[in-house]
Amino acid sequence: MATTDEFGELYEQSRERLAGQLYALTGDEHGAVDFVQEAFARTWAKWDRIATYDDPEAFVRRVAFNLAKNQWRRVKRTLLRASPPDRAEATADPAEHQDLVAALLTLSIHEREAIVLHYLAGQSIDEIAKDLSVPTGTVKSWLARGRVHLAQRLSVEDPEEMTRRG
Amino acid sequence: MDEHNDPLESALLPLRSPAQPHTWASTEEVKRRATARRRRRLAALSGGTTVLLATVLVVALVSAGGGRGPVLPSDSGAIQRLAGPVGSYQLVADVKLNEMLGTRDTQAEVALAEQSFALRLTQLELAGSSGGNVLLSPMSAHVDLSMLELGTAGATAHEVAAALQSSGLSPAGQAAAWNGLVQGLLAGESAGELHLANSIWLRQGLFVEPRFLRREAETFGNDTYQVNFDASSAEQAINAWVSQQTAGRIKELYAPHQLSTFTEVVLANALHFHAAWQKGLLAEAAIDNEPFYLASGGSVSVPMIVDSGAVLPVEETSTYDAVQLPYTNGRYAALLLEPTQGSVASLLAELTAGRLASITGALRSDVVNFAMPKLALSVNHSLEAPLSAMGMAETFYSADFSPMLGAVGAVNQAVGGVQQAATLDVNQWGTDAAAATGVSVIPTLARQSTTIAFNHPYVFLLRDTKTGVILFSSVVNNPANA
Repeated sequence: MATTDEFGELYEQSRERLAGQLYALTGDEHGAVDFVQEAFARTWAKWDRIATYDDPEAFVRRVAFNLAKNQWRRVKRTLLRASPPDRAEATADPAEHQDLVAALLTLSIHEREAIVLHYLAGQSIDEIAKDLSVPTGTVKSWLARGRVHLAQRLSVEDPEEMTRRG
Repeated sequence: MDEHNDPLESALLPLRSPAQPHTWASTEEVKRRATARRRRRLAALSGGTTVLLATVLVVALVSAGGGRGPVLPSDSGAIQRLAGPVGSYQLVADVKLNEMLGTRDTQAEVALAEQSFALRLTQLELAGSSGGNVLLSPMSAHVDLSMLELGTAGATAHEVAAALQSSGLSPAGQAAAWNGLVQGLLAGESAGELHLANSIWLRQGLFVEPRFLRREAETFGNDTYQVNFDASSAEQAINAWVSQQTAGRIKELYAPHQLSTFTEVVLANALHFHAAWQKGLLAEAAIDNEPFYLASGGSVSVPMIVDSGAVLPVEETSTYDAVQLPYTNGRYAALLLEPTQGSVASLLAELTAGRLASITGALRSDVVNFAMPKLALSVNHSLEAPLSAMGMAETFYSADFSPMLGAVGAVNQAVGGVQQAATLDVNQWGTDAAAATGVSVIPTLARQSTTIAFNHPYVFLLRDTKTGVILFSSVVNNPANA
């Protein structure tokens, strides 16, 4: 049975993770937080049903990603000033983040979304295909192109190339 | 690729942790925000004091063989205004159906999209069913939303297409392909088993783009009515039409006063399937009370259709049993799938259009002792949550309906809900199934020989064996619960 506490737990446990994925997708860190909060508000409106899904976080992610891709820019910032903020602990180097996101932003939106969903959200190719309503072959193609470009930008070895060489 | 040795995964690892502290609203504030928006939306639906633009759209699929030609208000030619059901008026103009049928390729694409849509929607409905039965008409919903898609633009069109699993098709192409598919379903060997039709209900005096109405009529063959949404007779008129098109199986799609007095358009879709099993099939069947074993443990005693020594197309594997029951004309068939290990949800999760094709391709006639429950299921429910999960989330908050409503429709509009009513009766003689789907659009100014017994939870898909289109899908978890 769904409870409101479960919604709170989901919000508190996944919001930073989702914001990181949104940041990687859009390059807009503050916008990422807005999108995640708006996605959670929309999820709460349907929580009785969404709570029964296998992966409610995936639902929030899809709503947030759609908002970001639709360039939804009317999030009320007043919400942020309404109460003392909860602050997450900084655990990574901001400059490193910026470099990685800058590299991601050189990819097409499709390649970038596939890379973020696969590497940051941990989704399989089948899950991404289902999520985006596209064939698995299309996802594989986006991932392959994204890997090549990203490997060049980040000066790491293309994993597929490495695999081919055995 | 061995993902454990993927250097990109290591390179991107830092992005899994926040680079700097973020400022977050509290959980309660997020909830209040959602609640405040809902209150504003309900105020719009119930006719608050704010001046609003409102649109509600419903779609319905009914008999193209109904005799009357498609009708619409038109910017050219004579339009007749005739008396319609319960105080409504029917608008009749001369529009030709059938000219845009789509190519065979696009029809196949739409049929494939409908199957993916059907399976995904059924999976999500099952996930949200809390162990109850699931009943849907994916075809009714897909046609309904395809009609809606004709009136959408921009990101809204992309979202609706994503939910319909048809992102590669244009709204017009999909509409034409549905026209071709429906013409095929209503003709030839399947005639008489399926009845489907569409209608559009307009607020009196509303401006609607003539091109939109013409395209709807040309491809979906709908009737068009004018109605007064200020009066409760609007729901009565739509329900009367749905009841007529479903031979009385569905008497109420909308409850009294469910539609806002600001409603501007309703697209209504209804579908009725009635067919006997193929001659000789289950002819010797008896009805016996037998146990049906619940997934949660225990069993219930329910009337079962039992046929010892039936000759049926079957496949038994280590993971599932499959039986296909063809109807009279051979084109439609009920495909029953019961997991022999794992849950019905895990079986459903692995189904795709291709998998269904391989399952039906592997069926072989065999003599079996067959048993399945008599069914009498009915539902009337919202599809908003699963459709949101399938990619239409933003459309329920902000949508572009400019192709339907002109410039006014480009802003401050949203889909208010998607409602579907359905019934499914299965007995030893055949099947009677009906569905009606409604999509409503609201203004957003106010808010912003073996034995195969189906006696465990199983999947029921009523399919067109030629195109694969899934007319009805059901997950029977407890047949004792009607």
